[in-house]
Amino acid sequence: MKPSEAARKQVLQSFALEHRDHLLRLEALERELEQGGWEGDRLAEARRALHGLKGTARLLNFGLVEELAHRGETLLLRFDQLPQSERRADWVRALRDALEDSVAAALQGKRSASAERTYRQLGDWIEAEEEDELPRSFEGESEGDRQRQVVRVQVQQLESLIRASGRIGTQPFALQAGLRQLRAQAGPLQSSLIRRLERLAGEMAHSTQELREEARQLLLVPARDLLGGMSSQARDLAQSLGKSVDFILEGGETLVELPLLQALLDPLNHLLSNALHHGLELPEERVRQGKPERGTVCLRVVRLGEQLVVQIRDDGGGLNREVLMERARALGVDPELPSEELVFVDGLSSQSVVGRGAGRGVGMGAVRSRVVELGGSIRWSPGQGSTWELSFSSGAWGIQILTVRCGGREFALPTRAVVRLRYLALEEVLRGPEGFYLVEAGERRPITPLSRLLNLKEREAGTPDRLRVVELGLPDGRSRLVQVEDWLDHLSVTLQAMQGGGWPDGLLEGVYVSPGGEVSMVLRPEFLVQEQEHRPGPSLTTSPATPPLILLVDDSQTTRQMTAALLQSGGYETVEAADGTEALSVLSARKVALVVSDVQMPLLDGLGLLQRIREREEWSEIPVILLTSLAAPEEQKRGLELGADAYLLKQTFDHRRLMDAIQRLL
Amino acid sequence: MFDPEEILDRRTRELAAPVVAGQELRPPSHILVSTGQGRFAIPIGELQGATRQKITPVPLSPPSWLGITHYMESFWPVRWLGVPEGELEEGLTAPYFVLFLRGRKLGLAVERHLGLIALGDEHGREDGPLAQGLEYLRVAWTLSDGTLVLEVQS
Repeated sequence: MKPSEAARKQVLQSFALEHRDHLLRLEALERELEQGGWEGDRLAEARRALHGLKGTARLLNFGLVEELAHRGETLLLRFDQLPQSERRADWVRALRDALEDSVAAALQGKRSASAERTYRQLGDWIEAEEEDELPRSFEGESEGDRQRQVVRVQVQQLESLIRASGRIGTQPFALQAGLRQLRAQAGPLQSSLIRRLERLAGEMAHSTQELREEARQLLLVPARDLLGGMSSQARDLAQSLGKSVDFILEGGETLVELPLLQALLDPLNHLLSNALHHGLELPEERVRQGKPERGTVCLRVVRLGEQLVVQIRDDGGGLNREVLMERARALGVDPELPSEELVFVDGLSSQSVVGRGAGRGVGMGAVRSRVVELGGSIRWSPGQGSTWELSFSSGAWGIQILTVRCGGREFALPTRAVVRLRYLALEEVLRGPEGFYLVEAGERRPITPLSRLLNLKEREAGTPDRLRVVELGLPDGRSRLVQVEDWLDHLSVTLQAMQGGGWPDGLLEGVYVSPGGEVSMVLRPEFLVQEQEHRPGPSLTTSPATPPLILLVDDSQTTRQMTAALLQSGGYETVEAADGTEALSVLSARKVALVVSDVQMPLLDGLGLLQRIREREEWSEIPVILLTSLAAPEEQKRGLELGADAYLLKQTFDHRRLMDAIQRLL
Repeated sequence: MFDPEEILDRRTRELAAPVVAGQELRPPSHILVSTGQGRFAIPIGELQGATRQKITPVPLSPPSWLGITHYMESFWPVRWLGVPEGELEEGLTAPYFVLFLRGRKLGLAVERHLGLIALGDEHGREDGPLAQGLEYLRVAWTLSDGTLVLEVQS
């Protein structure tokens, strides 16, 4: 059992954040060295950061990052023996840059030539024995990847392949469900055969998901390939209008599905043309206003989780609310509509929107329609000039969803917004007049039943022992705890945008046909996070069996998340602590069935924690597994002597060994 | 030669009840349906198809909207042509008879279909909107039995 693709993505996102903390330690050392000195503490912190980074990179199979961190550790260990002391800051800087490049490349499944170069240079500096081959940059890289052959394939054929694999993708699930029903009515002999068929159907489901993901990768091209030409287009058009412009493309390397990029060219050209015609002022006017003579139009392409965001902004005159309202009145449109809506009203001519004979809103209704057709959304936001932001989920090409039950019905949530699933005992939550609350980090967080957000009838099922809660989080930091009756499955589906119904705008991310052949809805997390509740009264869920609670103790968030995802996929509930002291607090508050702990941690290390657990009577029987990179036999002996039930090495980490050990101990 | 339009027209006719007596001589032009609000005749030419469909209700929708259905490889929002009396059940509804409007990506649910009818344009036009939210459906004229003959505005 491996963590799901979504869980791995989440782990990678955490790693992307966590590695920055480690690099900050190196930067601090670098600053000190630049100022002519360094302290032992700073050096130790930097070494510790490199060690942490090495361990996490190893878990993620980022070989080059791991080896770079290892060589960095060696470099710092021999710091005072190294020649050319004046170059120490340069070495640390080179190491930091290389780590940053190698992590960025590994996260995108690429290699970084600059990081590989530094890896070799570091080898020279620390006089390491040169290896024949560079370490792998990322999981899955092989010699074959490096010498990939190229074939020409029609984009249309690829699209057909993706859609076909999407259709096949749901069939094994339906097959599995049918076999399950059949097994319920079958005798013991047939049951065994049916169980094997079910397993086969499960494997087929997994393979088709992989097939679709692979096919989708084939369609990805760097945004620059198609949007790069907009730069000269902008310059030429500006020149013809007597204006000067700097066109900046940010995120040109972002990989985007080719058909989507092609379809976006028209709307983006429209927005660019609007910005140049109506947004940017003439040079003399800009100078008069104290602005640089040359205007700027910036096109930014970025992926935020499963979302692609394309932003175009200019530093021109922006929109004039008064003129917008005046024109809306003339058209018989409610002038009190927010500007964000008025800008899309058909017929708001350019001349009427902004003073000086320029304006916005020309054809913006059409641009919005096109964007919506492509399964996206567009919004305008004011600022110094104007900013248009187009967002697309990867829905048309396959989106990861979590299906949940609510009000007896099935709904889906995009996993990009699922921060975690929480299985809360009633002792962990508070019950107020309007429902349940969770107190966390001193904050009182309401738990809102999804049925109340959707105004569905709640099912009467007695008082639950535990609540199934989905924690939703948005890129802007907003979040919400949403209670469901059950979480059902994790799927990859092909979505279609749904327009024209009488339901609220923004409720649906899209729709798909479920494995059972029904129309199913994917709810938009942004809507759920901001929607008001529709009915008071606590929601009641059924009482499920309690899975064992496993405490994960590690100072690396990435390691914790990765292990948690693995254990959750095996049916365990997990709780996390960043060091030994935090673990002791958790042990006091929760009924923990087993502890998996790192050894090297700040404040109270794993051995100290183990000692405290064995000393206290009520905890003394809790199994403890040490999962560490300390491989020396004497260290293993010490851990086992202190009462560890198993000692697993991160260097040879194998998820099956961990699962086996847990099953054995529980 | 395969002609999808012809097949769709034929399917629409087959799904409807037999042609109303007395109308056999002229080709049918309208489909007759009934809702809680009465009987309606809708031009067949405005329909992409008509069939019984399961519909998935969408939360937070007004009562006039039934939900979404999957028809001819596409997802369609479905609303009532006339809201039936009584409260709708939660969950996936029983199949409803749905008219799929050509060019409008909209399904109109009715309680019953009554058959096909051949109508000319000999009656005076009333040209009033059918109901709020259904402005594109206009009452062209009323038959002597109270059936409202509708036309679809482009």
